Amino acid sequence: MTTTVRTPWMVTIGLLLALVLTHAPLAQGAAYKVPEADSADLGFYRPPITTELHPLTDADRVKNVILCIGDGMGLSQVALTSSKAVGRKGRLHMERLPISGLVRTWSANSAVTDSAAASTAMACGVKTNNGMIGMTPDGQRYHTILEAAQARGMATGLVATAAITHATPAAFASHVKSRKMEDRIAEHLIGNRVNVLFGGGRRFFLPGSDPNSGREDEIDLITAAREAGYAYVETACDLRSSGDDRILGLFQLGALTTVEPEPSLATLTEKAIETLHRVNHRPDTEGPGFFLMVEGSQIDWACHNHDTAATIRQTLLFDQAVEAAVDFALKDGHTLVIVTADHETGGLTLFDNDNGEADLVPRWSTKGHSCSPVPIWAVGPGALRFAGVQDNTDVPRKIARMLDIKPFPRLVK
Amino acid sequence: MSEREHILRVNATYDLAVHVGDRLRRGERLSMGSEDELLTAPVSGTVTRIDFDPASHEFTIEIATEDQ
Repeated sequence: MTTTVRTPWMVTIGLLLALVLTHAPLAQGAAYKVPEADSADLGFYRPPITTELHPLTDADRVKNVILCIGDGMGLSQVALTSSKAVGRKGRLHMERLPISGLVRTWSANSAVTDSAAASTAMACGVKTNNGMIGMTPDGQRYHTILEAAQARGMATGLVATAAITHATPAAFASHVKSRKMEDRIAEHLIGNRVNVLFGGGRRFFLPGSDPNSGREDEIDLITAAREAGYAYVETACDLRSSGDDRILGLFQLGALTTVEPEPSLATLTEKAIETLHRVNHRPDTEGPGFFLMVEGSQIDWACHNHDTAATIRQTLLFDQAVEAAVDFALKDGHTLVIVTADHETGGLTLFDNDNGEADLVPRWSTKGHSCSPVPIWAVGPGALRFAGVQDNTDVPRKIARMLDIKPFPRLVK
Repeated sequence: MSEREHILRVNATYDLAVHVGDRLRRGERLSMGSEDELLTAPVSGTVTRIDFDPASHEFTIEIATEDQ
């Protein structure tokens, strides 16, 4: 807790501010402002040219897996975005995936999960307490599906619009007791030699003597990454020109801004796929392939603030990344794409507009997360396994079976 | 008389039990979470501001108290 003393004239302003905020509930979360651009401007979005579902494939051999996670993206967030962007008869890119189901999200210690526990479930196949990363509540570390895929020779990647050390990407390549240990998470990400790391969070890679650092020690993880064979990039231009097999892309000190000149989530996803595909490319289907996790991190943040316009914008940015993943999968023929969420945020429900207009009316019921099941879609070989209702721990277990990873879940010895 | 401002941080996973403008008594619940480190108000006062901090995934709750 921090305490400051204010003078009486500031008290007056504070009370006036409180009065204003009481009557403007959407303005209460003023600290979060994403994006800087007009949230209502959806001109960047390229909707599907058809509403037809993508075809199911006969192929059963899964070579590559792309797991797309919309943080906080419940069914209502998708329905709201879809209604706004493509109309009631249209479909988002994610809604064109032929297999759909539901995912239960509870954590080991709560019906309402956080991203750390949910992503641990989707990465390790085990339940843990909220806040914990890559281990069970008793502190036992479990291999993640990314680590297991890497041990099988697959190239690996993590892409996020949050800091790359934030809970969701962290759970795929680190093991710490608290999601707050982002300095340690950064060390794990580099130490695990994940081929592609794209996101924000540069501050956790800078030594403590740097004024922008979020570390308390003098470890310089950017130098360490370079020495380990990574190319390091900070801009869209550098990203485009990089042809390396290992790339550390940290585009902000904290979270991404999600506006230009930063590379978009779709651009980051395309670059990650291009890199990972090149690393392990063989013309046959027997090559080791790659595992990539892509997170639309800021849907959750918009929902915590009950910011409907930002929720729609962030969901569309995520959907554009899904389009990039699906485009590759359809051309490749041996790539499984899974689209889901870690949990729902905001308790969002939708109602018809009394005026008969197209826009749905959103109602938010919580400032936190809810325990509503979240949607899952899939396309590509093995997609059928994701139909129906499943637990979040089932997601990596099914992926492991398809990649012939045994046993899974597996303790780290 | 001056006003003292207390900034509290609570896990944003769970719903808040307070709103801007609420007058709180010490010990009143701040969050609906069951395992949060800080669930109750350490002071009596008025909630003047609530923000979401995405980096830490926490709400910051500002409570103003009056010092006599």
